[in-house]
Amino acid sequence: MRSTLSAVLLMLAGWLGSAMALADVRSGITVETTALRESAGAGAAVLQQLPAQTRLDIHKRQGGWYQVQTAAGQQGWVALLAVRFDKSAGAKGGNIGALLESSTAVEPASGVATGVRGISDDQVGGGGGSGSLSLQQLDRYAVTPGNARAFAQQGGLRSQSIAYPQ
Amino acid sequence: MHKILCRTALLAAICAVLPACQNLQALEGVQIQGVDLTPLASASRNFSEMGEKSQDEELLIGASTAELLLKQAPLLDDAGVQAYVNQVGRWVALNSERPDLPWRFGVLDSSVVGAYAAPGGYVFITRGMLAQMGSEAELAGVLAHEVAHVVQKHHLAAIKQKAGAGLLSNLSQFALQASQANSGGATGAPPSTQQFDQLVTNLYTRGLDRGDEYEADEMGAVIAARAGYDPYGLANVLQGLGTMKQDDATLVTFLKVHPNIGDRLTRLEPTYQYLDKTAASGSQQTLDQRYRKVLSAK
Repeated sequence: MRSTLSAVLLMLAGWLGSAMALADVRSGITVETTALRESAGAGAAVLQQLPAQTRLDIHKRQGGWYQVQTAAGQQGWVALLAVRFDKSAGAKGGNIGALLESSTAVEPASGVATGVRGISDDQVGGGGGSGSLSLQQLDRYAVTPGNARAFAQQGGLRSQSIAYPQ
Repeated sequence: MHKILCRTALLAAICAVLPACQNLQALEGVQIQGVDLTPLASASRNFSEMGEKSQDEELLIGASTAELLLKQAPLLDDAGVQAYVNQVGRWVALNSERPDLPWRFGVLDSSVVGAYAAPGGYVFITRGMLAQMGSEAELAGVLAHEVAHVVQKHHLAAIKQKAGAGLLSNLSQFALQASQANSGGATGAPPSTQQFDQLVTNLYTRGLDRGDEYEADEMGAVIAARAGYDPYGLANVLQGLGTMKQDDATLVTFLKVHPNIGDRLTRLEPTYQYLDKTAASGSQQTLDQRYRKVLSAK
């Protein structure tokens, strides 16, 4: 029984994995004239100049760069901020979303998103004090600076001193 | 460091003092669990001094605001995800100009796409927003944007501006009426509570000034980079939200209370050009594996 469940879960994981890979290719459009470069970096060789409104397939991101393929099949890298995802290309791949949705069964009965968006005149003041209980719960989830530092270290995060740009 | 209290407890404590003379000046020199209430007293004596609210007052207003937000959506019942978001958030906040605030991060159980800051170090993010992200760097970028709002006291300034000198007397009335409610006298929310709640509600449904949002974007990218994250996490989240159907019910308010996503990305360009140079030698982590592991672990 347990092994059957495991097998099903494994299959599900595999399916999700493949769905994730598919979702990784997205369509984008350049919003300005921008260089298609050989690698991810402003110093990399320019393969060609792409005019604004060039449609691209986006394969992956590396820092501020997208690896893309043009309609003509040429591959290269463009600056992230020169590109906007194509809205007409469909919904965003939300695998994490699907996992989260399935893990939190409680949705508003109306089926319409409420939550904070539901802040409205008739709701304010009518909450019946659940807010203060939640505030206490929130305090219990808090972590200490020491805990946060250890967590950062585990992830290989190193602080660096950077001033705000003038 | 001050211990943050829930508003009710703090206000109930203030109540014990107030009936003596019905005047905030009675709070002079009073300390309740380490929170010095003297500023409330001196501000009531001289309203011109209200320009400089103390951190204690900020915490009190923040707790009231956070409590109101929590009435709209419950906390996600998942200690693992809550702890994770607190760890990322606290680490990000430690790299801000206000590392010593009693930072609190909470995931709201709502499918709406949103993230919210309240004065004093409260930051909320919805389950719906988490679902739009695929890496810890993206989460850090969004939290850093909210941390920047707190660092710059954007919400506090807006509340102050809208409430004017009446806010403190409102707060004192909260206390008085809370005590009456506790003794079984009053029913329902007192008028002053409604006033404050209305003010805060308006702020969170209409949003801050656009300038505040652009500033939080720019500072957020820098703070995330300081914390060792790939600073493009924030830009990537914005790109993703820009791809969603813009009339999606879960995105409507986010778009209403923030500037146009394309404008935000364009405005971020100089900051990212700056960070490409200054943050290049940093750890630049994206930590997408860690993010996916935590969010899919059940």
